[in-house]
Amino acid sequence: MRAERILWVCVACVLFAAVLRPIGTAHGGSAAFRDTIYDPGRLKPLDSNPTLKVGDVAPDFTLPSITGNPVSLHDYRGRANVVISFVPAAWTPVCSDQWPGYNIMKGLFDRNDAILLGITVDNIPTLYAWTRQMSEKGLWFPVLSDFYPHGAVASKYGILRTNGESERALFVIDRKGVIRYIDVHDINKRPRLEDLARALQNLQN
Amino acid sequence: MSIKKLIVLVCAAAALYACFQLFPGGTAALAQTTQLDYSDRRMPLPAFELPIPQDRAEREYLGLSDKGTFKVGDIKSQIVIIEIFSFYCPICQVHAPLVHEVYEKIKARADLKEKIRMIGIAATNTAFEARSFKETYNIPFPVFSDEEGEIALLLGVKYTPTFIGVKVDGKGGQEQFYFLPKVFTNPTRFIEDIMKTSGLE
Repeated sequence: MRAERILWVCVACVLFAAVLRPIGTAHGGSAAFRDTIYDPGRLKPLDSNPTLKVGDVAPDFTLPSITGNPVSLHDYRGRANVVISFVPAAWTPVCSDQWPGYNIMKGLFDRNDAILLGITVDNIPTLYAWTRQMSEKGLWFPVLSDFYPHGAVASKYGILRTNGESERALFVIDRKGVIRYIDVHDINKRPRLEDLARALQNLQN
Repeated sequence: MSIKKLIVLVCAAAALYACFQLFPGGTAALAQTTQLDYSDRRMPLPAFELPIPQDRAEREYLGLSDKGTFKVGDIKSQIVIIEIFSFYCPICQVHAPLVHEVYEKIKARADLKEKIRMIGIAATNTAFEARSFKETYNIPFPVFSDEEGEIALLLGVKYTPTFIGVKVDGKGGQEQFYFLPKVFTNPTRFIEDIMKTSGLE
């Protein structure tokens, strides 16, 4: 009787282990993040009430960056156009793809006298580890932490979601500090590079 | 053998199996000494169409003359190496020079340059993104956009980059013989593996 019970326990173990087999991730993901990405599943595309519109003056902010130096939006006033890329959170599927693309497109930003600021609501150590995974040398653009007070800048820009992450959003701001392009994107999708390229070109008009 | 011993044996086997299931990495490490790092399973390459390149040199490279679409099996060579990559994939970016080296090594070998063609398929990238990658890394072979990732899905690609070797007859026949779901480190060895696995050597 006891032996039979042991046998059943073994069978249960095997079945339990089979259930726990790793589940394959979506096709076409980068091998750089193999096994390190948390998949939140499909999310509500938009979960905030944007307050800004094209033509508004971009709200100023100062945030700590992963290099240790704080970065302020007003630093660039009169000097360069600014693209702000908010992504919802580190170590999530679409975000982990988006910035590595921008990282090889420095020329696109340079040609349009633009700099890029990447912002998430994560803390500095998390952002440091995550961006090192994108490139051993780190990214060419400042990566800023909107961690504390939590999501304050995302909130100012009207894109803080109800779970404390930000929307996946792009803001293009000209040298005068005026917002010229807004793309508060479906959080589940990556914004097309050509749309941002066109917005940058339109700054010349 | 007593019933007790039999039970112990079954339990041990079950526990071992459970461990392997729970720690697949460990299983792979154990199997590494006997397994290839690529799959040499032969199967028909699933059918999909690509647009014939507008660039004349690229059309000539693939041996295609008409407008419209083509299948991998229409390419005039004996082997086609497909790289599934993404503009947004950091490993594809870092690895691009080695892929370039493969192209140059094939071109430099009189016995291979007419036998092998290379193409890139940019999974989940728009045409603009695929072109940006090609320009950034000076990719010498044609690349195509797979914007919705449908081709990657069809080919069973989970991660980029993935390299697929296909035997072709230039008349639509296409047989997959090689599948490497990761980067290679040695371009010469990669070409040797492709040739050896194809059976054309």
